[in-house]
Amino acid sequence: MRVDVIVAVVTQASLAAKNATKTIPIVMLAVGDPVGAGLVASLAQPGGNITGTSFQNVEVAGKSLELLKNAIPKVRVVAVLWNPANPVYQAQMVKATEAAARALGIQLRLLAARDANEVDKAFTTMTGERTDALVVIVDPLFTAAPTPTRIAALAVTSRLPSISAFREYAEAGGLMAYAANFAERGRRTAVYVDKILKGTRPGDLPVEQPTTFDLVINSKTAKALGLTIPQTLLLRADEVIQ
Amino acid sequence: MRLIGLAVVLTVSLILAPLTAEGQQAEKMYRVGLLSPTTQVSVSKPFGGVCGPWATLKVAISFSSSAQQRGDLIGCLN
Repeated sequence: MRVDVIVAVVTQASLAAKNATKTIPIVMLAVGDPVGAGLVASLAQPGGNITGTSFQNVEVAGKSLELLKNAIPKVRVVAVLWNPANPVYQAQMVKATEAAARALGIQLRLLAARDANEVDKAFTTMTGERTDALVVIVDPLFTAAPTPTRIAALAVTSRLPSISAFREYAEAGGLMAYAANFAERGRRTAVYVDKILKGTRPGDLPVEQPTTFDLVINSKTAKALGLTIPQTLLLRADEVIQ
Repeated sequence: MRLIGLAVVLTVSLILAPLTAEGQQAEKMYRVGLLSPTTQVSVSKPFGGVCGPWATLKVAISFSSSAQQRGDLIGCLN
């Protein structure tokens, strides 16, 4: 079916759309790093038939580790749950997280999961080895219900404070989430579609970055983990789930 | 257009009503494809009864709501 505009959700879909057409306008939604993924030449002047909104989570990947360190100052070894089946975006995120870890003096343990079944196996491999906390690299695999709830529950069972870059993770029982507002990104994406349907060329519309990021802390999960979140961190939170 | 390997294209139909030179309203139908990396997205009716993975679902809803606020989203086709 011929469409007038393609809205492509996250990096994987945007790359597929870009490979599929050079003529139909593509509006990216919540892509982690559009330039790094090779989707656009630059944010200011994307060029070609593609533009849209970024989620900027590659740029702020280190923030997750920083927040974990604020919550648990003694954190030294952090597990990173990632999905190798989403190679371009996930490689960007792992690389950015590794760079942040080096700067913070944190050792990373990469745990790969290509499907929901492998999430459980990833937690099993941690058994018996020191792990102080967990970063869940946001990915469609991990954001699709009921997986966030499963990951959050496994983290609590494993006594791991955890964080991810989508707010629903904290709502599902993860300790923290730090992310741009997905719904707001969606609304902004609709504006792009509107402009393109009214005649603006996609390549002339700069890619829009999020301006605000929300920190959500789940205090119920903190209690379950026996953690006392420092007051300074609680004061920075946009939402504390009681 | 082939979009094999990823899962779902939802087609949203929009009506814009540009004024014609004569001052009359003419309707033009647009199709917007929503391409998601998840496999379970479906839309059973325009603004409700939606099911599927919640992150993508929220995007679909927020996208639809924004268009709806401008009064130009009239429905969804599968």
